Amino acid sequence: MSAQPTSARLIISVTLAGLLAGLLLAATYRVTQPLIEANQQKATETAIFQVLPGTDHFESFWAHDGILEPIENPLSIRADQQVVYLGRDGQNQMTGFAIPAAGPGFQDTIKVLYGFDPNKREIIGFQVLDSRETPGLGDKILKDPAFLGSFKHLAVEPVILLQTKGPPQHNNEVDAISGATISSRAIVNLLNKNLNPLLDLLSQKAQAEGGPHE
Amino acid sequence: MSEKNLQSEFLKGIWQENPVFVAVLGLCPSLAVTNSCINGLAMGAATFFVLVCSSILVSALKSVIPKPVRISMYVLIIATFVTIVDFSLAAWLPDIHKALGAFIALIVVNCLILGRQEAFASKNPVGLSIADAMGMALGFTLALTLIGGIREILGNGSLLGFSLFGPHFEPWVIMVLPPGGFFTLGGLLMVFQYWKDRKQARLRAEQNREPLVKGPMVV
Repeated sequence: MSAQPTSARLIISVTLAGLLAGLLLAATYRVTQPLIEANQQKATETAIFQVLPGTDHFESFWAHDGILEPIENPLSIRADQQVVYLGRDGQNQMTGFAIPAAGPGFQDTIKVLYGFDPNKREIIGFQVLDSRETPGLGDKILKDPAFLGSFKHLAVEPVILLQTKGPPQHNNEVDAISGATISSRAIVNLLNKNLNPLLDLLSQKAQAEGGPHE
Repeated sequence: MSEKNLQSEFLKGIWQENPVFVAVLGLCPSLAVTNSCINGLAMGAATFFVLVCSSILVSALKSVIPKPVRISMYVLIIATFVTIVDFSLAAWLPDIHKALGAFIALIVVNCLILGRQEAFASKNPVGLSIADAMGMALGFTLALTLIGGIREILGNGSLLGFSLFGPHFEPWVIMVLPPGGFFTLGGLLMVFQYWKDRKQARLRAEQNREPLVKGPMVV
């Protein structure tokens, strides 16, 4: 270190250090990657069971060009694919569809998963997966009981509306959160936008399943 | 601090040279992730791991690392440990990882860590470097936990997720929003500066008195 080190020495030492760091990171990646993917998968599964009451297991489909294409490996799903999960109860009867949707919120994209019953044509469950709404105001979309209660039996036709004045009067209205009207409206808009093009497809699929099983 | 010992190197980071309140380093995470006590604590713990590991490595390799490329070496070492923390949190503590988000990766550019490598670990033996890193990291963790705690109590009416004041407390929402970070940090810096000023004033007063008590002194 006393004399000025040659550039060869500098290059070699930095290269060596980079190589070692790379090896260490590759090892960490190998250990943690399966766990990380399992965590994400588990988070999705938990959400599916939550928005489709009574669900025992589910199948994954890719909705595109008017068909539902079965997805064999859930890890192969790309972010730009519209996925639809078909939930089934213990007797293999359909409990509904769990549908992930995303749309612009007040600050950043809001990602949600909602449960849809194609026979009643109602939304029967709803959960926010990811959001960066204002803490204390917009983030009430995660926990406001009146707002979330609106999604237990929410008719989707002709269109979902936001009720900003008082409690909802009709079964297609969502109770807006006071102080978070923009975030509430963002949710309603993204649901309408996401479900509209899927409605026919999901009804067809439900009919193929044998309609209401009363 | 002419003679260095483990204890004083460890303690100085916690109080006397606290990285946040005295040195005013690492402010980005101190402001950004301290909207709750647990987030501050987790950020502090992640920084603790990275700082201590990097200091050990930099101190152990200080005679091998060529001077002209030392900064890039430090950054490489720090970045490696940060990525390990990032992966590990995502694998074993996904909730914390989600809450801290991009700020885990940003530990790389926390000037507190790079600063300790350049100012301390690269010039001192491993033992002292560990003591210094642990003290500094602990001081940083305490500072972040304190800021997070204050902001959570005022802005959310809870501490570590437990509601403190019951349902009728109207939270002071701005404290968990970005401006609250500046208010809290500013207030705490003011308190620390006040203490420092008072201590200095007392020291000066004692020095002025000394010659009278002990008789004439050659200066």
